Amino acid sequence: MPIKNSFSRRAVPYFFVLPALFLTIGILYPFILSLYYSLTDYRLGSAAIEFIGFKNYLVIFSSASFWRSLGLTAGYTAASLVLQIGLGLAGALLLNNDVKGIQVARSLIILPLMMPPVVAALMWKVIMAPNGVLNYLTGLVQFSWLGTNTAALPSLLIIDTWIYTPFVTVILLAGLRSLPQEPYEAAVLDGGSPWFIFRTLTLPLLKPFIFITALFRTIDSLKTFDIIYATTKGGPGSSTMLLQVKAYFESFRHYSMGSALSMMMVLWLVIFVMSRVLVGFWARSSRQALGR
Amino acid sequence: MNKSFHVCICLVLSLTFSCGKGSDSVPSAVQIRTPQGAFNWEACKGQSLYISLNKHPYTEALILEIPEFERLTGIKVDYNILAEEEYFEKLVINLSTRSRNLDIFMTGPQLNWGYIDSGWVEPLDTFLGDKAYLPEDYGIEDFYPSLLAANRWNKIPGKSNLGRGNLWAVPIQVETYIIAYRKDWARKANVSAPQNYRDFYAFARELNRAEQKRGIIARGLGTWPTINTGFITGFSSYGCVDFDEDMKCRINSPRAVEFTRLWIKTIKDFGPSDWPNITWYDGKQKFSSGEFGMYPDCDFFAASYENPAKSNVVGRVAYALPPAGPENNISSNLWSWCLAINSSSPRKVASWLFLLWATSRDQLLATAIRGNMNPTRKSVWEDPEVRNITDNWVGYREVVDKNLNAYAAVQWTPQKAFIAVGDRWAKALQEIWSGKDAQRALDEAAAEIEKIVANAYKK
Repeated sequence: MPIKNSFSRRAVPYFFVLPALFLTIGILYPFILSLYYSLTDYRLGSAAIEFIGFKNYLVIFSSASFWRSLGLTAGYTAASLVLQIGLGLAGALLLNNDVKGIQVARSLIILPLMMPPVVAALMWKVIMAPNGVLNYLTGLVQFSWLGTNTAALPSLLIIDTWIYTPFVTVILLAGLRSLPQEPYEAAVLDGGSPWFIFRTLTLPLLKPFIFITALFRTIDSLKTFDIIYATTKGGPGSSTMLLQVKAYFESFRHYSMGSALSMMMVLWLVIFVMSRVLVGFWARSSRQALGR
Repeated sequence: MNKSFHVCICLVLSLTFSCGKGSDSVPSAVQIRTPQGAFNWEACKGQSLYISLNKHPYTEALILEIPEFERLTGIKVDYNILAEEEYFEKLVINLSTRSRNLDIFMTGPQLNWGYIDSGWVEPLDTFLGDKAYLPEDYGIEDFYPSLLAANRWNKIPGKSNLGRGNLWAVPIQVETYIIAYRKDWARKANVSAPQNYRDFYAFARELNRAEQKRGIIARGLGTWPTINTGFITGFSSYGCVDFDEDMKCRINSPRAVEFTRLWIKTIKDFGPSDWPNITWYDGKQKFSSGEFGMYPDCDFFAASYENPAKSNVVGRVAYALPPAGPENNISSNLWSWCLAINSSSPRKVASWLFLLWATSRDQLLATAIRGNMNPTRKSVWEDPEVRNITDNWVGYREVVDKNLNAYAAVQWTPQKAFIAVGDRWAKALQEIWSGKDAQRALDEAAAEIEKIVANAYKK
């Protein structure tokens, strides 16, 4: 039925964008509320909430433990990214060979991804116990992987890498399978070595996939909570007290919501900046891969 | 249109606020006594209660009895049970958002301090002060006085304020801290239970030598429960306090440092190599499996150690009082699971009825027989059926009796930032275990703890 009324005709497009508007409000409302609370002295249970400006931020910026946690978070993210992209790429290259049984291997590789991270973390907690399988395999006696200051963070990286490397592998494998074959055929005809082909063809063409995977993994690693909480709870001492775990302790255990939310706002800023940088890399590498 | 719109909004709002679960407990509408003056258990018939429970032997026993309460009162009871950490997280969210759906929750004196100060807990003296609300056969004097004292607080920080003010919760289980040790290992090593903390170190060493297994296991996670059991029991017996009367943190006093060094050295030398990850249930499980020589922790773990379905060490464990300090004092800490009423609950009388029923002698006896040790009523502890269960646990009744009647009290100083203080203190212990100098670690922790408390109480 034709819409005769000009007002209705003008209103219809707005009606159609309403769901998007609601969605935006739904996403932004908690964020803006969190931003507001980070500027207050909000404590769970306190009767009055007072606006205190940037005081929470000044307090956390002057705290050595905050900077230590931020440093640990950055280090954890960087290390997990390097490990997982490296291993994921290697896995994708291996699984890109059409040999007998490769379909089974491709199916098995995603098993860790199907496991809830908390369950995987608890499983690794048992494996890494002083009388666990890992010590048996490595020949170490009563070594506490998760209970030693220097080993706890690397141990968490092992768990994180075990869970999430398959994600990188799957994305990069999909990328490898979608690459055009003609340049490869030409390179082989010209006598290019496998390393030469990988360096000059595969890697540049695969860059957009690598950057998009790095983007997802960076965001996820910066927010890692479940693995740490299920295994070390930030200990021993503060050796695995990443920013998000610290904020959890500040909020739900110590009731200092204002302080915890200011930490989370800083983490959001870090994630936002990192995402913008990686999206920039991804866009540039996509253009290069398409020869633009 | 405007008018009809407003009418609609009013209708929606009135429906929203009137369709709560059950109805408000208006005391004037509640006939807590029948015309003949008898206690009226059916005073809130038709209401519904929602109870939040922590996974615990008490809970497992309680839920079997709930249909009995529903028959007695005509009140429907719904509940959820969560593992301890998830339980407390959800509880804090429910209480802090002033949820009207939650009526009763499980808590403990130390955790309650934060909740009480925030106004989340209903003071029970409102009911206890009115004889009409107390059945004649309830017998509040049957509870151990130390447990009722642990649940009274006047909201003022400082140790002398504990035991004063309102009663905030009714205890349903109590644990004190003792030494459970392998008597077969001790016999082999020719040593007896340690009488003081120098002996304590030597005892762990000898157990270690006797079996070539680790001599001691203790909690080690970087959170307050690590402090709450064997550690603070020894710390207090040693004559140390967390805060002095001026609320100055004293965990770094020379004597406190000396005790902390000794405790950590014992664990470092003869304890588990993954001590910072040891929770209470890890400790209980590992001791029950026969891997460790002693576990200075909860007395009631005896129920697990002596249960053939859960333990490899049945009949091979002995129970001893915690060692005495340099002045020959023993001061065990205590923790007591309790039931409290959410101050935002609109069904407070029905909630009170549940508390009365759940903490009655009959109910506490029924839960004790099903494994809820230790009972909080003297008559239940002395009941022949409970005696029958506990008499075979070597030395158990004797140490629990002594602890409950003479040595056990809350050793923490009441103040609302209890969790933050306990967590920070436990982190310091982990740092010392990892090699940091004890004086430095405790100085830093004490300074931070004072800031935490000051921040919690700032105007």
